Amino acid sequence: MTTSQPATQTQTASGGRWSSLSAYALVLIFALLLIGFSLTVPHFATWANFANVLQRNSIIGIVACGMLLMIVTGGFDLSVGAVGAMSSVVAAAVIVQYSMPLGIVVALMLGTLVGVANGFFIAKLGINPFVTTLATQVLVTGFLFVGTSAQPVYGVPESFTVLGLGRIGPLPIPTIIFAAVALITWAILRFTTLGHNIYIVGGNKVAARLAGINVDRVLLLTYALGGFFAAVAGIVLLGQTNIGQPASATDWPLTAIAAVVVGGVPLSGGVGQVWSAVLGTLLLGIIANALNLLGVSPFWQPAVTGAVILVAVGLDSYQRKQRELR
Amino acid sequence: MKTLTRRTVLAGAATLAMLASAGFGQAADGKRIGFMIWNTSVPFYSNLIKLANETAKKNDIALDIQSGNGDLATQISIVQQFIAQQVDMIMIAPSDPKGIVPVIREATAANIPVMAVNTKADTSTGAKVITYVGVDDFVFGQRQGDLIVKAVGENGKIAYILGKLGTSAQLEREAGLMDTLKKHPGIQIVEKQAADWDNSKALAITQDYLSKYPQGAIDAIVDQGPEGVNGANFATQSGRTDVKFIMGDYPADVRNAIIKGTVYGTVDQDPAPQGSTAIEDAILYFAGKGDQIPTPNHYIDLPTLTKDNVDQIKAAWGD
Repeated sequence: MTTSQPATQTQTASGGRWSSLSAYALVLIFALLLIGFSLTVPHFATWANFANVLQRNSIIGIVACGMLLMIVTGGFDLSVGAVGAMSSVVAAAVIVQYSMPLGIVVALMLGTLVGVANGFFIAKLGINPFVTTLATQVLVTGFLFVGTSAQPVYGVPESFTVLGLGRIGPLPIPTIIFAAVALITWAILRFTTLGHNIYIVGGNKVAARLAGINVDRVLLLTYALGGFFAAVAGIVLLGQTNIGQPASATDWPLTAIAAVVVGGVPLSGGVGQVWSAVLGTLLLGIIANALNLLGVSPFWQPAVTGAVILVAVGLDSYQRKQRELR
Repeated sequence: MKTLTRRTVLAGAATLAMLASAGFGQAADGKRIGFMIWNTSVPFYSNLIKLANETAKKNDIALDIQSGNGDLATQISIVQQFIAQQVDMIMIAPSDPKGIVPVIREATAANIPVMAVNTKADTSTGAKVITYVGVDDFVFGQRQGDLIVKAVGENGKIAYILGKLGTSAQLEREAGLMDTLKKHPGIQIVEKQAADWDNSKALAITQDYLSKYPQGAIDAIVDQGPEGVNGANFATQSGRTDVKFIMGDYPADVRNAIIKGTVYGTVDQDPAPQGSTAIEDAILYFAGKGDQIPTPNHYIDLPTLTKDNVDQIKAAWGD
């Protein structure tokens, strides 16, 4: 988007303002839908229902936060589903054999490791993110099938479901984890050098390199964070189902990318705020919820979701184009 | 040229010798079976695979189980690979009864017998299978219907959770359920959504049903599979004991839920005997006693489980 000019701090700042302006459309759509559904869909506007929606979309939200970081650098990660499945299977296996804290730690470390590997291939070897993460996705799934004979891992104590289904007061625990992840992502982008560098690298890699930024390190750290968040989501998934299922989570990468993109973040990189990922996730979430409450036939639901993605992204892109012409 | 020919002849002779020696050993055992399952990571299959492997081992049969990873093209290529390996029998649990038909014909053309296990293959267009070992999903649906009547009586509002749309289990279980409910016109299906045999989706749909139908507005939620059990537990936790839950299949978590009282009952499609029966039928076939195998379907019993008998019967899988 901004490749024609050298990237500087002011460039980033203007990029941030730019995206927030163009994303007002989404806030408006979200607010209108929320009001519209509340008025027309029975049982929509109750806290019990909102709590359910928050709880079930938290997993994708956690993944979307990591996805946002990678999209801002101009890439994305197709391996988040495989990493999530791996994390839930490994956590389940270690919890059954050894202990709960160890299971969580090992799963998080493995997820981060896959992220680092993604970053290494993309940054150091220069393989395109699509190819890299497609390959690691297949690779991780393959190892997972070998390790488990493609069979689920049972025996996680039922108390573990607190993590996926439990509540503290009115708030679902997965949502608290989601909020924490979103807050961390926001803080990274807002306050840390890494965050600022992520925008610059996403805006223009060459300029970033010339400005003395260690581009490889930025990419490595970003993909490591993406892998870490996917592993966190995998553990929450285990908390929801209580079985480590090697073939689960296959729809995560595309759903998370859709959430971020619906939130108004262009795939071209350089711009994007964490609330876009949060809002995009919740937007898709309340639509699915409203369709269920309205009793819309399951045959129609995917079609509606597809149309929503096109409309939301279409409006956003059109607005962007108008601003560019001006 | 001459050496080449001689080499070819030698190689041919060696192959023949090997085939012959292998042939002698094969008289009773040492048979090879290739078993394609559309997706082995579905929890349901773990005990089917276990029992099939155990039964095969006991009878000196080399059993090679491969997963189709839920993808029809992968399933077809696995069966083609079995044909290329010249196994003695191919067992299939396809995700689509019609999509697998062309490759069944390929196997038949290569003189390899095919047996359908757990999920059906479409034989109406002339594809040949020895038999289908599994359950009658239509009867499964009927038994779920009987459970509904037992749970709510002659009048009631029911919400229904479907499996993956278009799979034979989803279609036939629904047809069976509707068949039973025809005799009970007071029972009404007010909602239908697909959870794709997925735990998270089943929970989400259950929650939405409970939101839409407040206390007393709905009598039961019926799930075609066992995935809704988390939803049943969620309902009890949030005080919705007015809704009765009926599941399909009998894993450990459903058994625990029936004992706790959060699930009313389920129909047990036990995968383990399907795995062992398939291998036993194969042994009969290899021994030339193919006429003793029930055809076209070798159905396994489908017991119904409620609080009354849950103590006596072990969970079908997941312990």
